[in-house]
Amino acid sequence: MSRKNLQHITLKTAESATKNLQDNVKFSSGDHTIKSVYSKTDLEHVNHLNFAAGMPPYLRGISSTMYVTSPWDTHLHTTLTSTDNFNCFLKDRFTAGQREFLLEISTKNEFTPETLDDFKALFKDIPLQDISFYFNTNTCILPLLAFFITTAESQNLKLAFLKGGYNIDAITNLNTLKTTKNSSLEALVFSNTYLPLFNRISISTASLQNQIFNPEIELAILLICGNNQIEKGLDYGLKIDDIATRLSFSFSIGLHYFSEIAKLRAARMLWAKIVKSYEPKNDTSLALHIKSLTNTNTLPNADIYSSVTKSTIKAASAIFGGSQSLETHTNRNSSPELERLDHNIQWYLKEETKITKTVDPWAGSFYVEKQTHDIAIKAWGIFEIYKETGTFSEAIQTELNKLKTDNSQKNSTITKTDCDNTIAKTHLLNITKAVKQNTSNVLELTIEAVKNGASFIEIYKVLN
Amino acid sequence: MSNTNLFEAFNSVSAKGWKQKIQYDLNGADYNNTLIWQTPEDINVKPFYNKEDLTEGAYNFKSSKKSFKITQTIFVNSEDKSNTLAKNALQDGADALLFIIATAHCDLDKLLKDIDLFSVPIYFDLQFCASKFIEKINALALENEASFYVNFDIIGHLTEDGNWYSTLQADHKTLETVLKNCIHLKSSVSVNLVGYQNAGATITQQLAYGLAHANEYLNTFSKLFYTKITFKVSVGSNYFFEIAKLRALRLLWHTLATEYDVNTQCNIITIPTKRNKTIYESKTNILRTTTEYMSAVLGGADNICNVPHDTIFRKNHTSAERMSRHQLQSLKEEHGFENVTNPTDGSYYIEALTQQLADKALTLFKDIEAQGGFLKLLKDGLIQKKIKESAQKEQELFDNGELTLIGANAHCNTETVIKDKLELYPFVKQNPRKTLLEPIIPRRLAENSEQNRLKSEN
Repeated sequence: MSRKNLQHITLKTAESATKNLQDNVKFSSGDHTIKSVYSKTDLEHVNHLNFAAGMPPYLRGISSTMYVTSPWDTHLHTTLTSTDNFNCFLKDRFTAGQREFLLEISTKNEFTPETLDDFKALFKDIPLQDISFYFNTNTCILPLLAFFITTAESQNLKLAFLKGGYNIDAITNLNTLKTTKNSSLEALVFSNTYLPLFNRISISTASLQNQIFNPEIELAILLICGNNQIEKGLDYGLKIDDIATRLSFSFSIGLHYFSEIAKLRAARMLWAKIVKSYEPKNDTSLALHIKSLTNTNTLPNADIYSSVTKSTIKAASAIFGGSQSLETHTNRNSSPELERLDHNIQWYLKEETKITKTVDPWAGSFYVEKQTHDIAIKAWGIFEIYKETGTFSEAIQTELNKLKTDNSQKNSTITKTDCDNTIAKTHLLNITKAVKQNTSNVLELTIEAVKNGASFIEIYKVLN
Repeated sequence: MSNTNLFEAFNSVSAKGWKQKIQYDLNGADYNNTLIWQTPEDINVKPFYNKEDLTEGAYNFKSSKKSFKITQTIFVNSEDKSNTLAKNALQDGADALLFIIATAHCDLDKLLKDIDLFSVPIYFDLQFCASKFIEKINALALENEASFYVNFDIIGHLTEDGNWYSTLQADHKTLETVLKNCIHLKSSVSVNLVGYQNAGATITQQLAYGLAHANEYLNTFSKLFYTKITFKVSVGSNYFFEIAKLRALRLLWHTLATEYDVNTQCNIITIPTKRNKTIYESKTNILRTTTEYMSAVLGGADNICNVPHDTIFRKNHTSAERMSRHQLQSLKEEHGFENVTNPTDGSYYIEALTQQLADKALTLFKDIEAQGGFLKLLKDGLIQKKIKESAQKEQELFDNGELTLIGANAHCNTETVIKDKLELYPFVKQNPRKTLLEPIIPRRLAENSEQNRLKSEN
């Protein structure tokens, strides 16, 4: 039987699907229209398509080759349950290459380290000079810093070498923008003298992680908060290049795969636009450093399968959006098995899926580019209105009011403890006085109290 | 407002400008050596793609706007039990069913009892060759206005088994009868590419062999292609390549079908590959199937079969089946993948990969045709040889650690002991026997290392 000769055939292009698919608009709610088919015509008014990576406004990433030459940093986080556990965790993660940790001590936790010995045990045999520690700027930060500094000194470390900074919750920060409550803290953040390398500021929406939230609102809030930090820094006499390079955004990554990718791409462009208006000297000052955290909302506790699936998808979004570091949280409860799975998600994405081989792989997609454009326009609108009027539109304000931030409900489990150490007592009194008079040496006084045997809770109480 | 240009202050960057910036940043390192990824498909992946890579071409080969169907596989042992499993699956997330049927004695009425045949698409994978049975399915389809697909693939069987069901002539005769008579099926002809990937074929090979495999049917029976063809494809973890593979397959079928003047659309049903699955750290298989499902959805698969993470070493159990189904359900409902029909269209990288894979596969396909076609090369053992060569290369990459599988040759948890958990033999069964031609044997990359580890568990 003779075979049909097919040597002449060439690839046939099918008719574009958009021609065939009618009733294109799928559904719309308010000004939010989602179509089911996107095409070139959707990008007619999109102006960002020719931007690259490594050059402002950094649409496609902050370095010219991104993960092709160096993949993202894997960050894992653990809840403090005992000094030994935490010490082991730090050691393991340090060995695995993690160089940045969020140190979070909340009085809400079951376990709070109390004494200087507790803190020494936390950081036993940990090379503090090689690690950056971030502290949440909540009510516990001063005692925590004081204990941390004293522990470092006991390891014979010079304070000038301590690296790290502050994690500002953007949502809480919105409410305290105009007050000067944290002035001693701010002075510390923006001073280059006391802890010169301990000067990073990470602006975070982690407290949104139990909420479903519009990407453009989250982005706008980060931009507002970031811009505010720039202005504060300038007030303290810093140069824009110095402030901008200290700032990073910490995003909470939600369920919607494509919107989350678009959100991070839009964020870099808008941040570059904001910083540029302050006329920095270096292009690198316009580059937004992004940390991502896969949020745990809607993760059912029982079904590992389902939560791991969701975490993997969110992690992929964070990576396709171009994050510098990624923290995966598969479950609110933690166990060695879950922590291992969290880690495996990142290893898997890095090593098996080949997604690091090219920069910003979703670029050009009609849908992703349109989403990037739309989120940028919307977030910028919110940012501008806020800048002009100092308020949000009513609709957004209503959404924000629904949020209950962690910090407002924190000091529940503290029981009254009386200090029976007279020397410590004197030092605690000094702090109380300094707080009353609003002097700037509260941290120094707190460190003195720590050195003289005051406990975490005692200091916490006189400070609040 | 949406027309405002927010970014006027910034300059456009050409590919040339970007490359210059990279060269500056590389600080003397070689561009090609450092940044180009040479893939087993002989594609050089560049560090970036932009508008300049986009050729005006074909967008979107997805045949319909319909969302993918979560497809539950059920191996039919007893009709009653399978019927119950099917109904439970349909109540809990499944949109479609795939019955694997071993004998022509299967009682279809019992098997399909109380299933809404009008709205539930059903696939039948038959492990035997009997036109009467398929005609029965056809009659049921007509009677119930049902969407039935019969995956009847005589060459697929030959590649897996090494023998025809009966003889070349008899098998073709049966297929002819089926094609002629079973016009009420949604699909009466199917091509199974799953085995090629599971045996270690590259993506180009899978596509070219799939096309050449289909062309054997077209050569003989193109006048009888009354129904849409079904391709059964396995999807691996090379995320963007797998997306591009499915798009390229539609493009290739469209091209070939046009020549024969048959339906240029095809139906694609996917299943996660076995090649990369591991018995140690087996929960990592959940991560693998997650991105494999994502690739399938984004590549435009019509049906996606869920597979539990421990399926290579544990007997079927309903809870793992259910949870793997929920993975797909989550993709369908929670992550916005279904908001848009064509999210990959326009992506510089995916479009370029699609084009390159399709080009290379077409060249290889023509090469096979020039040498006398797929069946001839199968008989000569050439296809098998080529697949083995690719598999061997991949195996070497795995053995020397360049290709990693988490938990198998990287980031291993050496304390894990699994010997007692193995309910099934998870390795290739050595069963040499005389066959007409050499079968194409699926093999997992981690098998050797796992066997060694199992031995040392004592």
